[in-house]
Amino acid sequence: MKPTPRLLEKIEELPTLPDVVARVNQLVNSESATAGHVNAVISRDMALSAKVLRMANSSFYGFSRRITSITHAVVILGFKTIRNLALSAFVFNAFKRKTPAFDVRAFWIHSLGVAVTAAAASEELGFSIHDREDVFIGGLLHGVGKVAMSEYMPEDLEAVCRMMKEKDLSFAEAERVVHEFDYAELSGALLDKWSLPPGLIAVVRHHLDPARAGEHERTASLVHLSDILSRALLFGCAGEDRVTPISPEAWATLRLDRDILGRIMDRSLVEFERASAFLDIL
Amino acid sequence: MDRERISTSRIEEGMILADDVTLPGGRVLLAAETKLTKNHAAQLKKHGVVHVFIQAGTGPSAPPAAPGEGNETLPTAAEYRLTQRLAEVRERIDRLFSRAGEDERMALIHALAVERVKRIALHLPEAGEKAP
Repeated sequence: MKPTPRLLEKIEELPTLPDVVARVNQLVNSESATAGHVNAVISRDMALSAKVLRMANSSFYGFSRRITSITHAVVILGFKTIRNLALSAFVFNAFKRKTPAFDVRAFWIHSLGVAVTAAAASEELGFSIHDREDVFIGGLLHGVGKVAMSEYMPEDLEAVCRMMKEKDLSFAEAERVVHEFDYAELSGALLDKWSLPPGLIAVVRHHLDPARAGEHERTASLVHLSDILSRALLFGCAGEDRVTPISPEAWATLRLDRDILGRIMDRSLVEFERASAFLDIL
Repeated sequence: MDRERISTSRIEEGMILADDVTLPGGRVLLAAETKLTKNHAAQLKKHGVVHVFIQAGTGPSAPPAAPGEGNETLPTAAEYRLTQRLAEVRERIDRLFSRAGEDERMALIHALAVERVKRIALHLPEAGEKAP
């Protein structure tokens, strides 16, 4: 599916990735990068360096020894976690304008809930360790288009929220009427502009209709489920007070049943409490 | 108001908390003014809380309420707040699922979420856990 001209025009107006985040991303995708290379990039950005150390020393990871060097933090946290932190910190601080119709802070809490639930679900459903790191960032950024809208297209966002109320539509349905694309497409296009991995882009772009995610269908289904569970468990607020029913294909793909869902929810509730420190680090 | 520090193992039914009991993560486990029960004591122990502050005069040496005061049938402020909170939470979840119609999958997710969110809202012990 090709992006509409309207979407391309909007994407043009959105920010590019800051140099330091872009370079960390390149290093993570490269075969030959070392912790020393990542350290060289991060150390030049004092704010990011401080965040990396806070993350490494946070209760979220619970390492017993105090981590004082960036290189050490990169080694123990892993390249992907560092990339995810740099990316999350940028996005979280770039898009935080609160509008009367949309509470950005509550939306970030919802997004953290999706990330935590997706990570918990990926373990319960036997995803590989490799996938587990990817689903956390997929969950955290699944709705980055919504927060980008609040910062860069506040009039569109207001119009969508009005339309949603007046016509009794879901957020995505109202968006398709107002500007011919939905936030999942916008989020995907933004991650594409930032040259993030194709798998992550596909998962975010298709999380509302995971059957269209091709080879990434199972991961997209997981984020789709986690979005619904994060709302059901009242983690923050997704920007709409009703939830669209789960895709039957996603249900079948993940082979869900009462026991598995209960276990995923219980685990998410525990992990969410632990992870709530994450937003403070950003 | 005066406060008394007592060890969790000495909690008796009817003692009233002077302060919120907050867990290391920042979550309030029990709010100030909660009238303590055996379940609360078990819950505090489970979370490793060693002592709490109670309102002076509600402890073991508290004089019995004068006959005719009748306060014991009214809910405490904390109990009232919890009931209110539970009703709000229930309303929010029901509204959340109002688009789901007859969808069986959503009905299951709805039921599982209500069970869990209720448990958190009321800080009830886990299902199957018995008070000592």
